[in-house]
Amino acid sequence: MKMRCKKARKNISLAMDERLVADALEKLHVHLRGCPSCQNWNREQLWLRDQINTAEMIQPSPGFYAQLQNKINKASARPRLLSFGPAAWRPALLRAAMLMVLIFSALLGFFLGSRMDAPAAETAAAVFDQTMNLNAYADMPADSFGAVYDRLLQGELQ
Amino acid sequence: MIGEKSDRELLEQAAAGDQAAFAMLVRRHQIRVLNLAYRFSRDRQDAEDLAQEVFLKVWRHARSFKGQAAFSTWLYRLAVNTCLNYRQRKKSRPKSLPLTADLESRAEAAAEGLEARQRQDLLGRAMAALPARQKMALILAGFEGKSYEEIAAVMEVSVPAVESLLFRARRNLAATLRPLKKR
Repeated sequence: MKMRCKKARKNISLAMDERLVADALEKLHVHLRGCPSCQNWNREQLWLRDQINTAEMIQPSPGFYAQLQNKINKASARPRLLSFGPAAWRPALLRAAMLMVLIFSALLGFFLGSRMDAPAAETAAAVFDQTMNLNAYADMPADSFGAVYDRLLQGELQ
Repeated sequence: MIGEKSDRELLEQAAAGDQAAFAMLVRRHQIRVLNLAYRFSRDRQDAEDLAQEVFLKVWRHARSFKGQAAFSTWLYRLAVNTCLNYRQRKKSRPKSLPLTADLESRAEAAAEGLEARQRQDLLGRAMAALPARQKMALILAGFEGKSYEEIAAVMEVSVPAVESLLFRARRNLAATLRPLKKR
């Protein structure tokens, strides 16, 4: 299968770093033989690599270490703001803070949830009455629990 | 003898406050760190400041080095992050960005033969125009000769991401410098 130029150029980049396996390298050579545009690209990349490789190296200035030492001394002398003691405590403090956020979020969720689910007072009363079946005895005199109980015991009610 | 100690041993001693061990560690790695910073910043003074910032971080965080990665990987990671942060801090990319027209005019002016120094200057300017991570990948692969796996470890990305960064860096660099090739 014929290699596309885009793929060939990616492979040129890999080949320059010796990252291309033999089979892919052979395919790249085949492509290059028939593609002047990619040949040009290849020459450009080799030229760039040569330029990069010949870049000058610099040496540290004579005062390099003294300046570094100075910076270290300054950094050591500077009082640390928001210091919480040994660094070992910081992960524990972070975890504690995260736990507090979680607990707060859970409590807030319960609070908001309970407010949203709370029934209206009339509904609650009606449900309570229905549960206790108080309406069944509503037309009876003195329909208190005690009276109903007494009358049930006496067999007056079924 | 201190000179024969490994980086890790020196770092452990530095973590315990041994300044001689720290000085040895700095001497051993200062040229690499300095030149990495220099390739990135293209400014000698900035490079020294960056390299000092890297070693200051080494001093501060010596105790937190767990030895899971090689010392050199850890050091390079500190250096790379310091350089990338410097780029963000400075936000000077447009300032050093060589316009293609500028490069073309320089290329034409030097059509009779561009000096190596000028070529390096133009290369540096073209590199300064690259996005920071592409530029860093190219520096690590080109100047430093790091493998893709090492670059991935230092830049905390995957190997395919390194391949992609390098390809895009080379493509962009070639596009910026193409006028020079027309001479």
